Amino acid sequence: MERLLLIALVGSVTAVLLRAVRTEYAVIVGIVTAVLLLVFGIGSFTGIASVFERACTEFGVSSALPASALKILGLAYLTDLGVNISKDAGQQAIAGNLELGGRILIVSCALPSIVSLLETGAGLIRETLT
Amino acid sequence: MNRAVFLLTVLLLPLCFASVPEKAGDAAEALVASVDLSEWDDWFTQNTEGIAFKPSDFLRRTVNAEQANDPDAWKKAALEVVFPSLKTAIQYGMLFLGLAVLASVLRGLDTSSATAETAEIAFRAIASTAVLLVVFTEIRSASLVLKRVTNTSEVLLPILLGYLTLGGMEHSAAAIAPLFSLLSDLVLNVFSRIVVPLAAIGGVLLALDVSGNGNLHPIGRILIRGAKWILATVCSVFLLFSVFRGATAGSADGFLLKTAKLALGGIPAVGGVVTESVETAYQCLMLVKNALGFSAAALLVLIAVKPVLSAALMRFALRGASALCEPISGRPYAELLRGLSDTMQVIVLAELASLAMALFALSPVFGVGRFS
Repeated sequence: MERLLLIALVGSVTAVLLRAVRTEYAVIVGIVTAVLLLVFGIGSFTGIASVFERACTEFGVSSALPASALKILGLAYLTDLGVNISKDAGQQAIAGNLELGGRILIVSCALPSIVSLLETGAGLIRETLT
Repeated sequence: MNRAVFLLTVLLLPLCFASVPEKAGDAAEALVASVDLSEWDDWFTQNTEGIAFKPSDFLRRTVNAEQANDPDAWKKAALEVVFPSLKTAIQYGMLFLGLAVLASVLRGLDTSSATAETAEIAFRAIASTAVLLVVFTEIRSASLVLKRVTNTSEVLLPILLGYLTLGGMEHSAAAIAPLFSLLSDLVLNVFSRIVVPLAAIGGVLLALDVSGNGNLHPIGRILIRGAKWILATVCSVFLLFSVFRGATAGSADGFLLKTAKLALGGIPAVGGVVTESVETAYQCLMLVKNALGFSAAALLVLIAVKPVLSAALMRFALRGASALCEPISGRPYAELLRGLSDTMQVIVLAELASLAMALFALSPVFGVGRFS
């Protein structure tokens, strides 16, 4: 946590100082800081993900489900990161398009799970009725 | 006609025991040997998922008041049933909490952004699928329990009827026959064809409400509540019916035997001896009958105990996870777990009610012939 705090603090101060001199450098510092925060944050997240994956395997839940869940989380965070960077750089149109692309990717990732949810529900009802 | 057959049985039985009236235990053992429980033994071995219990052996031991080879066998069996179910429930809890923690990661995103909203819906679909798959396994096992109780009742009935008729307890035999047929034809059918499907459909509707706007929640909740009402109504009707049928049967049989005893006691010179023999023979019959009833009850309980316990613990795991998840992952996910825990509650109640009613249907076997 201290590391994350330090990176955020240094990145923010540097970006603020650079913005007065060269705006493009401030944007680059912002990107690097955001990526570093994400990378260090993900380090502790892998522990949670592996516990979840193990629990799913133990109960016969398809391994595609935890994989899709993690993919959705990753896509959501990357899209959010990209959108925020684009907005910081003043590129609203790029931010909007990136958001749309991210949402389409998330939906396409979740589609098999939604189909699986419908199939499981239908299977459960069919089995209890017969 | 029934009375004539009964009196004949009562009059003939003392002749069987007259030679050794003091060895009531031997007579009871002979009676036990005449009851073929191999079908129960086979049925039990096939249906109890590894619980070491043999009805015929249990009956013999009960009649002879013998200690089991291993006095701690029951304790060990209980531990074997409880610990794996508890472990599974804890793992379920871990799975649900893991899902909640993952869902909470999404809350780190700007909640007003469209990406966060889409990701949350997508993630909820995945979480719903995972939880529904786990609940599916439990509902499948509950349907199996209902089928097993139905089939076990069908296996128990002919032996119990045969034995009660042999012992002259025809009123009781006449009482349990319709009770068991009501149980397997109506009650268990209503449970497995209406109550469980309604609860399952309710649970599925709650799980399908992935957008979190709660449109499907009211319908799901109504279906689950409806399933509970049907369950309660069927139970009440069955209990009322069984009380009316069973209450009179035992008294009728007891009264008939007491009359026979008094009539025999009135025979000059030999009346007292014959009455004593009748008493000994009748006590043997009662001993075997009660042991047989207890074996049947143990058979039913042991067949259902493991799945019922597992479903009950699953319900508590869902409920506990829902309470723990609410502050971590937000209301919609907690609502999903709470809704599915309600579905599981109906399933557990249906399993317990079917077991309780099967035991209640057996009550005339325990209750008849209590007279002095």
